[in-house]
Amino acid sequence: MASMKTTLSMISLALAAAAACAQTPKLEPLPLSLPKPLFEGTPQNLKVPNLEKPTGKMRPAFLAPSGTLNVARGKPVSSSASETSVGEFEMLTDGEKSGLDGTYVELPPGIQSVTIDLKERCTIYAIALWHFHKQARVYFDVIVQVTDDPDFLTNVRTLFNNDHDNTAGLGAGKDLNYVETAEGRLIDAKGVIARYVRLWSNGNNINALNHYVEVEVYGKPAH
Amino acid sequence: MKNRFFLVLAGVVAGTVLAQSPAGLSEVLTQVARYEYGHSREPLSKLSDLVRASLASPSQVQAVEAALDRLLDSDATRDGKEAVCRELSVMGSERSVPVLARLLGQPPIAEMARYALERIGGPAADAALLDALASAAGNTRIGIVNTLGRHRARTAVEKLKGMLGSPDAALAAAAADALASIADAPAQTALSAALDKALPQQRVFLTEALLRCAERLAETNDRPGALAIYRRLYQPGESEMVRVAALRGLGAISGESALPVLTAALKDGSPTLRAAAVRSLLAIPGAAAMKVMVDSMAELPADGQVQMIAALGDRGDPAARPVLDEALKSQNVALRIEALTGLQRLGDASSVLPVAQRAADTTGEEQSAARQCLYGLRGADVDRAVVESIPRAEPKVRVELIRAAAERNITQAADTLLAAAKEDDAAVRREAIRALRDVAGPERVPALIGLLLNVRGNADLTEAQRALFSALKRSSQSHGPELVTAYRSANDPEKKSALLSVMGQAGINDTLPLFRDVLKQADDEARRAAILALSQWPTAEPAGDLLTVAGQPGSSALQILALRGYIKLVSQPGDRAPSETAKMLERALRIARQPEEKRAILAALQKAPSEESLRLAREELSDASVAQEAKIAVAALEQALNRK
Repeated sequence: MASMKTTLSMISLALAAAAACAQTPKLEPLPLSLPKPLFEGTPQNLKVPNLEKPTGKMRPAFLAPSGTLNVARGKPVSSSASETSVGEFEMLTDGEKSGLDGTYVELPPGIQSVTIDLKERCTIYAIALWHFHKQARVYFDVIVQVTDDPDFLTNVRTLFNNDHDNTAGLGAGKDLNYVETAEGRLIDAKGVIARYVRLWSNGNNINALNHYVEVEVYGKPAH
Repeated sequence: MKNRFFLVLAGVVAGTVLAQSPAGLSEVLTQVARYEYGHSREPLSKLSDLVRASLASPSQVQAVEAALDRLLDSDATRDGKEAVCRELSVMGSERSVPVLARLLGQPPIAEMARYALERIGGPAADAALLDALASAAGNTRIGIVNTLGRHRARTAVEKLKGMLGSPDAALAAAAADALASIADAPAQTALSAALDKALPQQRVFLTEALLRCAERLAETNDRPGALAIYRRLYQPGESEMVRVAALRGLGAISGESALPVLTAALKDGSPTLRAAAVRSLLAIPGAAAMKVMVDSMAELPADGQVQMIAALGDRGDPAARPVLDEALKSQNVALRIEALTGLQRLGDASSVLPVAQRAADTTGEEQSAARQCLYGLRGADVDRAVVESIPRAEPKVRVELIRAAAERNITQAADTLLAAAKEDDAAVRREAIRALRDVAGPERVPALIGLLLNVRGNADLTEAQRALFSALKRSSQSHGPELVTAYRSANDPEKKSALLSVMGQAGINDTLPLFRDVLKQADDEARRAAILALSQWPTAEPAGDLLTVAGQPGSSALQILALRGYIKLVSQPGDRAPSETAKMLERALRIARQPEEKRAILAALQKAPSEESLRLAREELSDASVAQEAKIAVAALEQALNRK
């Protein structure tokens, strides 16, 4: 009798494990390709407060459920700026992230935002962004928000905010300033569901202008 | 003992300073005579100042020079003597040569003495240097050889010649280099003779010296001498780099006479020699060289053709045009890219279509080269050809031509682009609307309003909106009435919203009555569009309208949108006093219900440093949802006000 009980317990455990396996999606590294670096080394003399220390190592692979892709590719982009100084808004989502001249968009000085309409609600696992990686720059007041509301009035979630002094008026953030490199910045979105992605910035340590080479939103349509 | 030495030294120096010496020289020289590295450099600076001051008077120069010479002959320190040598290098004359020559035999100071002699120059200095050669050794000797070379001292050729075979490789190389600088017939003969019997390790510096000698001969119009060297060094036994240099030299000084040898190099030479021949041909003016370049194309291997096409493009001779046109049809991508680069300079209106076709048919580097060519083609008829080709070309070529119209800023293309903006092909349509953003002037505003009202799809609408905004920005008129009429006549809500957005971005004040009408309507979508458009206004003019909406009962979403718009407009930089801005923000604060808007107000208050702003920020410290931002604002405002 005791041995039968043991066998039943083992079968139950095996079934539970199988069920758990069926529910846990297989994780894979993001299909993220990096552009060629356009400068070498780590800048030493950036006088920027709250600056993240460079690790000197490649970023580890980011794991997301199998089938995750860049759902922002080719999606429409709008902006707080009426017009660009250089390039077109569509360059944010055109897949070209070499960072060379002719591949980035330049927005006017001051606090500016760009909004990507993913055209449907998506489960977002990560957002990768490159402001400008021809030079080791630090962009200020970088804020990334997502929502389902085109007016960003409801259900707005902030995924990244390094605006320490509330310059942009979206609240004080605790994330660190960082140096732009060819690796871009990868933000863990933790599977948040949203349709619109808005990114803010407020110039950089070289000039007051705002730039974007590419923004990639890794996720899946949330059916 | 030491004190007595310096007293004697000071006496010697002072006693030799003539009556006409600048005041203070004696004292300064006494200090310089004792100078050692690590001491204060003040005496050296004073000496330099005195030397500079003396240059205005020949008698003073002479007196100073004599005093300096005497110091060199004294027991002054080595460092002091070096400082004096430096001054003599600036103001010394043949009078200083004997004393400097004596120093050449004293290794610690010899280097600075040579330096002074090099800058003094002249036959006496050369004679002193030559005399010193026999007894000098090591680096001092090499330094003297270098100076004789820099002086182009022909009197030194015999002695230098004798050093070419020296077992001291550095000395032999220095002698060869000096002979190359002297570059007279005996020097050339010496170098050639040395090369005849040179060991392999000597050939490198000897051939290099001969090439330099040839350059120098060519500069001094001794073309036969230079040619003799180049011909000799172009022989097959020489290294490839030497042959390349010799070939370039032959081309540079022989002109058309070098064509046979350059033609042979094109035909039979290594890739490196061929490349050198191509560059040499490029530098030879005239039809004969051009003919060689064009005629050789067919016989060149692929990489040679690419080099030749690039050279033909650089040459800019219209005779190359048929070759470039032909290269454009080649199977070799690299050749086509070079042809496109060349055509940018040599092409004309007839190049427009084939190049646009190439841009349409290719990708990557070739497409980029084709586009650059199309954008850079010169000639009065090119713009017309671009415009006239647009309606006739197939869609993908039309897209390239439209891009070119925008890049070339062809304002005459506006009508053609307006027509293309209505075509069925989506890519053509989009590119045409986008191009209008660059080329449409203010006179096209009515047409662009019409275009916006008739476009298909959201993407075209966005582009049309941007094109209209650009034209409005260029205009000195308001165009408000036309925009209002268009709005009232439009039926499509999206197009109506787009028109409002353009009016908002352009900040056309005489359209504000329209906005006020719309804000009174029951249609929430229209009201939303009006609020968003007003929020984009470049000035705070409609701030009051937005505040009114924000304070009205009704849709809370619209109230919040209006409040955010109001905060945004009030936050914009302007002439308003900070206290006035604070008052405007206080109105917003009184109706703000959410932390989001309060945070935006606190950010705006920070930019308006005043007691009123500080008071408002402090009030918010008690609201837990924005306490952190309030604290930041209070700190920033206190700091700003303290600075005031």
